[in-house]
Amino acid sequence: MIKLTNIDKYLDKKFQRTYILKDINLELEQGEFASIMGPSGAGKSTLLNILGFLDDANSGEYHFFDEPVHNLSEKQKSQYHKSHIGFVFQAYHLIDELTVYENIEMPLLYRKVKGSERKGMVAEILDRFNIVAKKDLFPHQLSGGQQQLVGVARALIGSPKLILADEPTGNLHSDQATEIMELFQKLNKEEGVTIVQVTHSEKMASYGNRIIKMKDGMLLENFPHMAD
Amino acid sequence: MLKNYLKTAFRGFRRQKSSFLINLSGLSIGLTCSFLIFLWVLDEMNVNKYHADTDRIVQIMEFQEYSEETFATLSTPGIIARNLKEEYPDFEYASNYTWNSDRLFSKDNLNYYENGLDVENDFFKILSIDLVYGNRDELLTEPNTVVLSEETAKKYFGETTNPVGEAITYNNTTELIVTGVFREMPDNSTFQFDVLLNYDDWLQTNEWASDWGNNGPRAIAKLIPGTDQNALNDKILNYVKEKDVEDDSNVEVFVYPFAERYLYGQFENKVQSGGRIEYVRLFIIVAIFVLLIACINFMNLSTAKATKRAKEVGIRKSIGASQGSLIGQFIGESMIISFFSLFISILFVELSLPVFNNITGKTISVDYSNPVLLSIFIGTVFITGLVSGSYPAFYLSSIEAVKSLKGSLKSSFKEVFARKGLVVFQFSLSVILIISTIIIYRQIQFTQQKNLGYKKENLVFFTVEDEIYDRWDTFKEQVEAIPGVQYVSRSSSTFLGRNSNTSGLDWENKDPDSRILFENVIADHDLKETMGFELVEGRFFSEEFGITDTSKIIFNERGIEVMGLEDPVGKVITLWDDYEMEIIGVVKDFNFQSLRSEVEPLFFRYRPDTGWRGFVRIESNNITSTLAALEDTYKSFNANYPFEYNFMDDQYASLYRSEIRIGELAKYFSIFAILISCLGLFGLSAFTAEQRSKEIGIRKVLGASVQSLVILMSKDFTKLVLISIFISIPVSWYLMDIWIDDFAYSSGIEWWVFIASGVCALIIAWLTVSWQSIKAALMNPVKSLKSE
Repeated sequence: MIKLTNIDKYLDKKFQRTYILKDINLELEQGEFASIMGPSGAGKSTLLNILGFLDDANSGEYHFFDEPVHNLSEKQKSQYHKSHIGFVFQAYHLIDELTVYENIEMPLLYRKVKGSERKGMVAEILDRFNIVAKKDLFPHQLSGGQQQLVGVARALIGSPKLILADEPTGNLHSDQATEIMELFQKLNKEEGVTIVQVTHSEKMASYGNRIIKMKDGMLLENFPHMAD
Repeated sequence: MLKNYLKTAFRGFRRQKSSFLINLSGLSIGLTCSFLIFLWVLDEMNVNKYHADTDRIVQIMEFQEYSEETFATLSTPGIIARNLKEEYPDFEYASNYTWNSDRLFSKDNLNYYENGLDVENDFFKILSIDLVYGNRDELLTEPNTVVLSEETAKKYFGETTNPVGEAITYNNTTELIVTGVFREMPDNSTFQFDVLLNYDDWLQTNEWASDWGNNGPRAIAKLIPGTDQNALNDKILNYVKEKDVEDDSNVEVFVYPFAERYLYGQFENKVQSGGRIEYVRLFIIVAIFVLLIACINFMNLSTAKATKRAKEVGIRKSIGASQGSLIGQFIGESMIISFFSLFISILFVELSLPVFNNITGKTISVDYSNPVLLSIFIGTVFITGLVSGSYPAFYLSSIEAVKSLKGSLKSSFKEVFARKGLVVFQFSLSVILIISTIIIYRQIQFTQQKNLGYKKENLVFFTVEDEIYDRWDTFKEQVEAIPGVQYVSRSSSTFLGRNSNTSGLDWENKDPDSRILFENVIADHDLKETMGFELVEGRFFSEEFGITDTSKIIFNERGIEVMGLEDPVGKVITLWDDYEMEIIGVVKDFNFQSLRSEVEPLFFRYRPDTGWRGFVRIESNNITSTLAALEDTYKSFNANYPFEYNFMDDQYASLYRSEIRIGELAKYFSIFAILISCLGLFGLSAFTAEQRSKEIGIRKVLGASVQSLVILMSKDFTKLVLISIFISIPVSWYLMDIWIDDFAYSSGIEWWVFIASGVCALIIAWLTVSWQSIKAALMNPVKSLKSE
């Protein structure tokens, strides 16, 4: 599904080039639930952003479903965002001015889904996440866990092939974190959604089936991990 | 989608009330100012344009060449219209007409002065004058006829009567037959009159006007369709010169589009140059500037608050929003605000129109069914939304999603620089307006306070006619006896502009080619004392010498200077080739025109029994009773005339009516410009205070005083305002120098005006910023540190 070949990402300052990612080679199959782990500054988030088209690599090749992403135009990239990729953020990143319902609905608006259809889809996902009662509340009226639930619901509503999650449980306490991870696991197993998450926690990583370890912008080891 | 944007926008406005209100009020004030100006401009552009076939209506004008200058004038020989029409088929209709003056009408104990002109029948065929009664072909075709306005007719003949064929008394002597009644001229016409009299009657009593060498009456014409005005001008250029063979005529004739004369009516050396259009242009620029200042507020606040919006941008981008859709969203938001402002500003416009009309002397009202007006309003709002929304939209939409989501967004140097630049721009414009206002006001004050060479205070004048004209000496004696009256005199001049002039003077060693125009003033022996003129040499006319003084002449200093006479007293000059006049005195130069003009050559002749204007100098106490006694005396001579008088200083002040208007307008616009700029500064300082709250907290914990913190936070803004002041000084100096150059006598541009304006702007800016700074500095540091 995803194939990274010799990906480099660096910052150039006057006489010095600082590598953030160096020579990354990585393949991800459809249906995997991978966790990227490593110390701060290892380049985890940058890698995730490149995977999600939010950032470009300086060199190397990126194939997404055999499509060369490094050659795609901005417009095509934005098409892929809409149809293939869902993001979940550590800080939830809901729009403060919009209600739960409207936040979840937003990706459908950008995909120009028709009104009646949109309503059905949002209702269904609210139902599935058990947040129907909260649909008219604003983000600041919710707890962190509930906000993240909305965040996941928003990422899922477009039925993406790939969910990218940047420390999705980083701001949550353990009960809430477990809830989100169980949800991820369920989505992965029952619906076959590919998930890549960045995490610091071994425990959170253990919900997945693969761990990718990074240090100083390089992949250290990279092995399949059997759940439970 | 639109609904989603609207929700985001409206909830955003609610959350950030202060910046929303600042934007809304700034834009509303900006739009109000520009709408008022546009209304004024539209009104100015439409003056005299309502006549049918307006492009065929022309003013017949003259260039008169003198040694010092060539000027364009409306004065023409009094028979030029009929002759041109007869000799050139290009003229379909042509009419000479006289100038506006007050004419006495009476009927059944009603005596009023009516403002009137003498016109020919063609006048009604050239201009679109609506008739209530009468046949257009028969108006003023017979001697002793008159046409009245609807209001005037009602005044004398009652509400419902058709007065055509009825008689009305003119000047207490003549019975005139009413031949028609016309509707009042609309406000956007420069022709305004209550009565129109028969021009031929006037011509008979003013024989001089039938002479090709004399100019005075005006002339207007309608050309046949398709006339090439340039070709016509080539044909008629020397028309008067050919007719006036006995004099050495200096007159060139030309036609000029009547409707354009209002805005483009000034000529310099035979070339059209300026006119009211310059003020129109100036105020359009001011309108754009005020609006721009308001737009800048919007841009600055939006980009300053970008950190708050950035998260939303990041989220929308990660969900798949394209940059285009974000640009659309943000421009849409500014459109919403600017359309809100539209409604508020329409309310403001309606509220302020009475004051505005008062200042501009217009009667503007908003006609919401006028498509031109509506499209200007909506177009302005649209452009405002676009301009103020564009920079924030492009700026915000270009924020990188990764950065904004990580919260690592910092204001880049470029962005801060742009924001500062915009503040400098705003304040520069504001300071330019303040400086200009002060200079205009100083000049108006200067015109009122300058020593004119005569004393304009406590001087009353009125028209001398009928019994008072004939029995002047008796009248004068009686008035002089009134307590509080100091001097009484009569003259032929108003001393408020040119009245009569001539170039028919000869003196020793005169350059035969020179042609110099002298103001020709008739005086009696008390004019010097009454007006307060000063003598430089010789003597003024005196009763002692009686009738022999009629062959004497007195010049002003300028007159002596242009003739180049040394020791002028005792020398003899020749007037109109026939009269030898001995110079007996020289009067110190005095301003007998507005201060836009230099003092020009002038002479006095002694004709104690012919001046039509009476002057009375009174004491400054008991003015009311003095005037009451004066009126009694007046009435005892001229019972059938209303006593209408004016104070010289009031009339003098009205010479500067347009300057006073400009000054008033400039005052309001600079107040609004600085107000809007300060609104923006207020918003920005609130933002900075918020952004720096952590820094302030730390400094406070480390022992910084409130005072030092306020200074710290005001420093940046002070720098910006100082830069603005330095930019605005040369610009406003340059602009005002052009303006003040129109005056021959001016207060000049003084350095302290710039300093005062700068200090004023600085203080206002400080007050604006300090409120936020003090608030931030007084805040409990624990709070601000905790919030991180």
